[in-house]
Amino acid sequence: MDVGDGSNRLMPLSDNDSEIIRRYLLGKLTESDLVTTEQRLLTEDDFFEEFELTKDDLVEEYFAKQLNQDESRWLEQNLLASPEGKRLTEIAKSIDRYVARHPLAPLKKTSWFEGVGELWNSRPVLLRVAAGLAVVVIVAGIFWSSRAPSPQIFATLTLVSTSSTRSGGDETQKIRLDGKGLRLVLKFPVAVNPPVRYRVELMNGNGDKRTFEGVGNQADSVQLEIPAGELTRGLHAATLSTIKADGTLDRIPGAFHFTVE
Amino acid sequence: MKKDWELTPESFGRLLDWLDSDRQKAGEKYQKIRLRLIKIFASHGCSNPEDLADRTFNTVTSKIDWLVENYIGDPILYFCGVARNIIKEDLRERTRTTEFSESKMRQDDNDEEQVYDCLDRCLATLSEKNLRLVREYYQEKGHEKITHRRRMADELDITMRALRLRVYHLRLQLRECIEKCLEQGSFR
Repeated sequence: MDVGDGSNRLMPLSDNDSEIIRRYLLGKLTESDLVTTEQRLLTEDDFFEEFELTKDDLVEEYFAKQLNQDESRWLEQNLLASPEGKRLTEIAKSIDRYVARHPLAPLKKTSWFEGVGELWNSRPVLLRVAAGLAVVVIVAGIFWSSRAPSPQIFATLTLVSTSSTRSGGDETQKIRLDGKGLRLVLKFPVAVNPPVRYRVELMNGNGDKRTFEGVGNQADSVQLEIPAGELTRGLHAATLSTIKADGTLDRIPGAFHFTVE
Repeated sequence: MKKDWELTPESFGRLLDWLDSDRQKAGEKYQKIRLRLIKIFASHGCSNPEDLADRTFNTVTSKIDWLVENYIGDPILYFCGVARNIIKEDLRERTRTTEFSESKMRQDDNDEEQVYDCLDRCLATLSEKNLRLVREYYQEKGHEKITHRRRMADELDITMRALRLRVYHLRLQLRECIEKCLEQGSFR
């Protein structure tokens, strides 16, 4: 589900308006300013919208401990004490947890070539010569290193579901982790139409569970990379589900087993 | 408001007429005022904002005959005055003994688990683009956060406020989805 930009219907609000709302929510307005602010909240759509945005910002700042003691206390006794505040709090904490568990690669910044181009155009001639030489050295280095076999960074393990292929007596596959982690390839029992959103739940011998989500572009398997730090020695079991459009899970029968040595 | 006063369909009809002569518009105004009153009461920590919003409407409706005859100005501003008095009254009545604290919040660990599970499911219903937006938006902490979000807005070629609004609307969707998930007990 996509949402629109929302920017078309925006009227510019002044920084002062944002500050007034902030002060309102932190109990810093005088009685007469309180009344004026509440009148504006009831009558001005943009002002009310900014009020809604500021509440979320303040809840975030509260948990990031960016508010001072008085401000935190006021928020606790007012906004956060209401049922809405409680829900805002729970959601903020859950999002925080989710993001910590599912870190993203950083935003794409200026590309390497664009960066070199910018540098090139902004430096005087001597620097251009130096930069040109550096590029030649780097390219030669890359060429040289590409001739030597590169070390394996992720160990790869391809698994099929226990229910589809393995009999009870089979041993689980073993993998030794020497590099950065494990690339796990989980085979579907029957082909699916890519792209497929999936969720993998991985459990180690201690019963600790980790969940991984992603989008697979293969009809026969999904692939995920697990950093070495997140794996313990011993037996692991993974279950695989596809995520349907409505968000419900469609569990692939069986489990995928492997042992980390 | 008189103690023996009761809301009748007639008095409520008069209230709607006072808000706007067009019943459709009057109904919309009623909804809008009610929602915003609820939000205002909640921001003051009132434990039952919906009840207080209804109390505001009842108080205004109980005076509707007088208001129709004598009040000059935007009816919404009158609601505002009544709501302000109700907030003050509520603050006086409210016992401050049960204060909110992080330790108290931790008592609701089970709730938090359920909310997290529901969030997890609800995030899966977002499009790839929107999921990425939410995850990206909440990526950084502290002062880095502001720089990071400015960079996001630049990348998307929108203003910071437009970015905040996009994420706000997504969070609203998520919140509705989470409420539904919790009601249905469909976590786990």
